[in-house]
Amino acid sequence: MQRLDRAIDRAVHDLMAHEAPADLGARVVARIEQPVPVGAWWSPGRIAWAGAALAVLAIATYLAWPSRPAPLVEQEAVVAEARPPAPNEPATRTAPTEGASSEVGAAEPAAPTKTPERTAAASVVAPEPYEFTAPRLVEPLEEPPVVVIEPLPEPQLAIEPITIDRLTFESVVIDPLRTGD
Amino acid sequence: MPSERSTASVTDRVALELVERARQGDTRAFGELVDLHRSAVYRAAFAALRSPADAEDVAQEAFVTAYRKLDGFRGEASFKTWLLAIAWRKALDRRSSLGRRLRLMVTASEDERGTGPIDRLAHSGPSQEDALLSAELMRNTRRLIGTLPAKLRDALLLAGSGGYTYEEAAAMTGAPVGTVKWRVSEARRILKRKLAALGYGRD
Repeated sequence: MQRLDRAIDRAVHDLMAHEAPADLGARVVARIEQPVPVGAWWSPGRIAWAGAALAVLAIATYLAWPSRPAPLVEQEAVVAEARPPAPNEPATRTAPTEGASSEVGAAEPAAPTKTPERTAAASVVAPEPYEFTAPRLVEPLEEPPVVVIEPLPEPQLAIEPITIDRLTFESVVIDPLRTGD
Repeated sequence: MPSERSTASVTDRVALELVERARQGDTRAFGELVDLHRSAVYRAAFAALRSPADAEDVAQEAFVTAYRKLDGFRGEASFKTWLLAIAWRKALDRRSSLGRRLRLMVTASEDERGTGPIDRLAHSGPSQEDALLSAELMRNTRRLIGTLPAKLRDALLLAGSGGYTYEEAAAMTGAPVGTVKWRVSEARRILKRKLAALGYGRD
């Protein structure tokens, strides 16, 4: 085993038996006397880094944005809903329904009347889909406008009183039975 | 030993004077510092990299870095130790960047079992035995050192070469002195076991 120890010692010395180049000192001094190169601000590397940073920022901003833009069709529909009706326009844009209510809605094209019920109904905020999507698309930097939906006209149902007529019966005359002759 | 210690303290004193001059912009003084420590720095880099060209590059880089960071040297350790620590870090950085290329270089291509002395002696005459055994042993020992785990190999080459004290090797590798000693001992144990497995233990 002593032989192996000697072999290891010798191998280690052999492996480390390398001398540094004699001119290393001169080369180091030459390098430290050189001015440190300062790259121009517009060097390709810096531009690439700046571009990459901007791209990352843009992606992060897009991903962090609270809501996505709604489809264009939806947006227009909501804007149309928010606009007040013209004097010649029907008060409601909803399609007439069947039955008695359709008669009333379609027949009255006048401006909306200001009954207490209508005023209360007019202050109702728009339903959810319109409230979140449309205002951001139209004016993204301003406070979203309150979208007011015109209430449906009150259906004027009239129930006529029921009159029960007295039943009249014609007198029935029953002839007496006759026995056959 | 006392003479070595006094030599070291003289060297340290000289180095400190040169450091002071270099701090004031005297590049020649720094050149003298390089000449004073170039062997130690170069060999440390070579121990980590085992390539003369890479070791030279790293040694040069280490000296340039040391010059630029000269204000950071507070004299808590000797200038040589401070310098060696810089060189070692740079050598390890280079080694990790070389990565696969170095591993391929370290791993011997020849089959470990087929190159033992027994195999060779079967084809040689008795008069050549000693010379052949010695040459084969050295070659296999060097090759096996290359296959040691990096931390064990580093400790063995630094502390085992006699070029650095255990304290210097510990400061360079960032390990306690006791750990460095254990690594050297463990490296030797592994080498002897592997050499014995190749048939070299039969004296």
